[in-house]
Amino acid sequence: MPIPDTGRPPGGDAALASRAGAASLAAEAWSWTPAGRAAPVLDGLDLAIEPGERVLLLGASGSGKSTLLQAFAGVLGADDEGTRAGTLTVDGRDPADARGRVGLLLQDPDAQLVLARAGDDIAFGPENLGVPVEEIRRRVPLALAAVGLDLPLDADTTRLSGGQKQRLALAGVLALRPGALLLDEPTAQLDPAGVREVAAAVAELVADRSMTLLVVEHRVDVWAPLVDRVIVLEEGRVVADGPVADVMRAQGERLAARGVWVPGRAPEHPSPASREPGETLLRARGVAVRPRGGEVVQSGLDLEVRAGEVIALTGVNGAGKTTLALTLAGLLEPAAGEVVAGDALRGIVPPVDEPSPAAWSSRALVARLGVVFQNPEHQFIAATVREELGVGPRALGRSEGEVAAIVEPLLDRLRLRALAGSSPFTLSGGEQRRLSVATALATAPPVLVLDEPSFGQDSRTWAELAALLAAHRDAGGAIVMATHDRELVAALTAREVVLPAPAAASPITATGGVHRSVVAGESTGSRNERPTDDGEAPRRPRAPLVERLNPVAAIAATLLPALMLIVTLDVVSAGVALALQLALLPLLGVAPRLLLLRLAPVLIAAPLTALTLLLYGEEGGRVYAELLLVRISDNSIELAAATFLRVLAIGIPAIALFARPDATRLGDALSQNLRLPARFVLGAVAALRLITLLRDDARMLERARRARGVGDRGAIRRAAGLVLSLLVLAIRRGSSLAIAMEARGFGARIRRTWLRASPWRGVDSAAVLVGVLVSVAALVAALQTGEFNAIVD
Amino acid sequence: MTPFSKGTILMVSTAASSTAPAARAPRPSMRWRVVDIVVASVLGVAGGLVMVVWNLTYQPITAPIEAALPGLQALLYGVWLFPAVLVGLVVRKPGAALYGELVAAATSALLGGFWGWTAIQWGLVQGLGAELVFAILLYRAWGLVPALLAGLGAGVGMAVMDLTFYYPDSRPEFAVLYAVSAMISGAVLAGGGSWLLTRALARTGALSRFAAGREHAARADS
Repeated sequence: MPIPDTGRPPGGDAALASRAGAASLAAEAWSWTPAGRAAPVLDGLDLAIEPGERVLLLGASGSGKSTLLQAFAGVLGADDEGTRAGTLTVDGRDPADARGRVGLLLQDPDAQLVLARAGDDIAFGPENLGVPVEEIRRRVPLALAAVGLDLPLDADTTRLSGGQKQRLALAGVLALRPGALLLDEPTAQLDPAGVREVAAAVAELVADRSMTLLVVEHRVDVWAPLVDRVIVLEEGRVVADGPVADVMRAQGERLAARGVWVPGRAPEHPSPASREPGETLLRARGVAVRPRGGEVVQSGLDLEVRAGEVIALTGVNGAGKTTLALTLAGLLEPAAGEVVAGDALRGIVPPVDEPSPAAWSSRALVARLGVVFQNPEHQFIAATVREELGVGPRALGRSEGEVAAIVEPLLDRLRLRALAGSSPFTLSGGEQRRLSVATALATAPPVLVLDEPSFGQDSRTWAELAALLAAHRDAGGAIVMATHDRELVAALTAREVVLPAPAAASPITATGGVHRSVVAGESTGSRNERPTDDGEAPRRPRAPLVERLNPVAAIAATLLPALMLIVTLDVVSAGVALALQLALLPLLGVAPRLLLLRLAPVLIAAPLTALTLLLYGEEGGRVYAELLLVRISDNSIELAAATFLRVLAIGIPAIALFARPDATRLGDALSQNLRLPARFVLGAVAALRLITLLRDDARMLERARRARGVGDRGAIRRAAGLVLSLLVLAIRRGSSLAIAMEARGFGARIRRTWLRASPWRGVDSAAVLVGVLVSVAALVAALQTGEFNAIVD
Repeated sequence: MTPFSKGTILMVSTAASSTAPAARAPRPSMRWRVVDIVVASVLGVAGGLVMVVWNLTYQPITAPIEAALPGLQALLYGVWLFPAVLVGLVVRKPGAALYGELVAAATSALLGGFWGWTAIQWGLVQGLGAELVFAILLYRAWGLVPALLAGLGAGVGMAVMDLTFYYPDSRPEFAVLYAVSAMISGAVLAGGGSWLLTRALARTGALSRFAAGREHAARADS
């Protein structure tokens, strides 16, 4: 398969410009119908984009914009995923044959990064395309600089801000040296600062026309200064095509009506509040807030939330807007101070005694405080839209007749009737936003708390949202919203509460403040190592043995001895093995506290397993006690002792050798040393990166359930509901990640290169040998003493 | 080790394959797409997270059962087996069940799981148990019955491993009770549970790029 540009280091500082120059993109009578759908998403599309052109692609949601970008990137899938007609080409070739010529950047910053360290992630694409290691090593820092990121190469990618992540993803795309950049709503999930960062980086890149640009966005103002031409899609066809000003003049009104943010056509604002704020519903006094498992981000906050007013919590990222909103909503305990509900709020049925919302039951909460989460998918728990709207009222014990009387009018008011029988997860972004607000309104709570409600919404949904919130305010309700959206603040004439930037909360550098909780398995990238240029595991003087060992050696040193030890069950072999291991343990250099923490479970499990054998093991010799199936005998006592020692002898080395696991190094070793298929190993490594996100998702899901009124259910029912939502979120991220990875050459039938070598050193062989020798010594000891007790006889 | 139930399981699954939903034509591709790999990995990792949580909670739940009737505690151990069946049902490619269970086991090990890397051995054998069932059905049947059988297969794997490593030389009554409990749990919790979960996932539209998701959508339309 012909791959452009690989292996030819360009001369001078030609930087990252593709050797083949900017790419041309063309479609001729092109159609695409996804499998399982009757109507085509793209229908007889005709389009030609010249090399170096800069094009903005507009259209309502569902008009086929993303599909078109994926088609040019060659990641739409094979024939079992859909049927195509006509031709679609990159540089006159089939996109599948032009891998690396086109770079694709997607919307979700969290579903594009593959590896735990920034440098590794940038190298991922070129590695997939078999670019020689020296060339990759040259490109990585250039790509990082090209997007204006000043990060060490081993910066932990989970700790970056949204804008930084998105720029890092862009660097990963640039490292392919593409001839065309395809951006699919690259700033929709970023705050205003992030939007500016990404737009500026892109502007810089396409300034010299060395790359063709095709960007999908509904915010015209951000991209209009950057592009030469606008193409408008509607129902899979081109309906307008021309210079920005011309298209806006001819199509502006129509586009605005379809939700595109057209400059000069701002959506209508609701009329200002008709009356003065009334009584206090909620009062915060001297409150300090902190996210779960995090540090205090704000303290000494005083705030009164009164009926008929809108409060906007604003401030930079990391200032604790969301944390404060969740604290006011009773979903987080304040770290200090108190949040107190006013009499009007407490007087609602079911009555509450406690003044603090955090102490209320889920049922009490849902009658008083409606919460709308930033990601609507966090708060959906029912199988259909109609059921979803009924969740809150049902939690309050309303009869079916009453539920219908609430739900049916809401379906009409929020234009959701046609979707009443659909799963909430199948709705579009705008529909999901309307539904999430509707679920909060269903129990008619006096206070609405919203987290970034207008984030990434098209102008039509935005206008509807503003109208709904204004109506709630004018009906005497109070609104607290965490937001970056200046226009929403203005539209609702909100009282703005600006949270100051916290001293240590800017997640700018790899070693800066903790932005996201990091799982144990991924924390290795966060230590203060110097960045290494050679792509090998960071080397520090005298790194402990446990971190220097090749992970495959660690596995072998664990498994081979374990397999030998299990042939016998006796006190001598298990005891000897355990004693030798404990003597060798200090050599690994694992901190004792960490070791103890990791070993705790097996230290609990070992005696429990032994107890089972004590009571139910094969009897023999003297019987000491007997009850039903229980028989404690000489033999069962010995079995129990042997089992206790053996579980420890098998478990302790396995845990100690992986006390500081590093998924990236493990993946490298499995692929390079064990020669496992790289596609599968890398897929698993990429998925492991999502753990941090999944854990945050799980916390948010739990909170949302409390806010929806179903948080009082038993642990098992809650857990079961949580698992489904978590899996949906995981699959969505996974599907998006798959597109991003495939666009970066993952899965191409090319021999991959590896920037990060996984050497097998003498110490690795020695570790395996020592492991085996320990077991041999143990077995010999058992044979010599005549205690050998084969488990298969 | 005595392959006390290997013969039985083969017979059962062969007999049941005739009752399983008929193969659908045209025959879907057996090649793994990128999205298959990534989603299988993500589901495996999520399964690993569930395992970690279960590792920390199962003792208090199963201990009373164990005390009352030893062996029956395995009735709840199917939780460890669901990634195998779930990934198999969603992805429908050769090796998916094995891969899903292995990734889940490796994830639980990486997160400082209970048994360190020995978990991989369990993952391997349990995954193979489920994989074998899907293979015998020629990767064509993905209904409730195949799901139950795959869960049962994974349960056999778990019983073999547990009885060899943890409870060697236990009395036959205990071993039989334990093995039967493990198989029932595998079939019901892992098999039936994963089947229900797959259906629920299909309903959310999250599986639109998978045959498992599209079939459901087609059924809903008709």
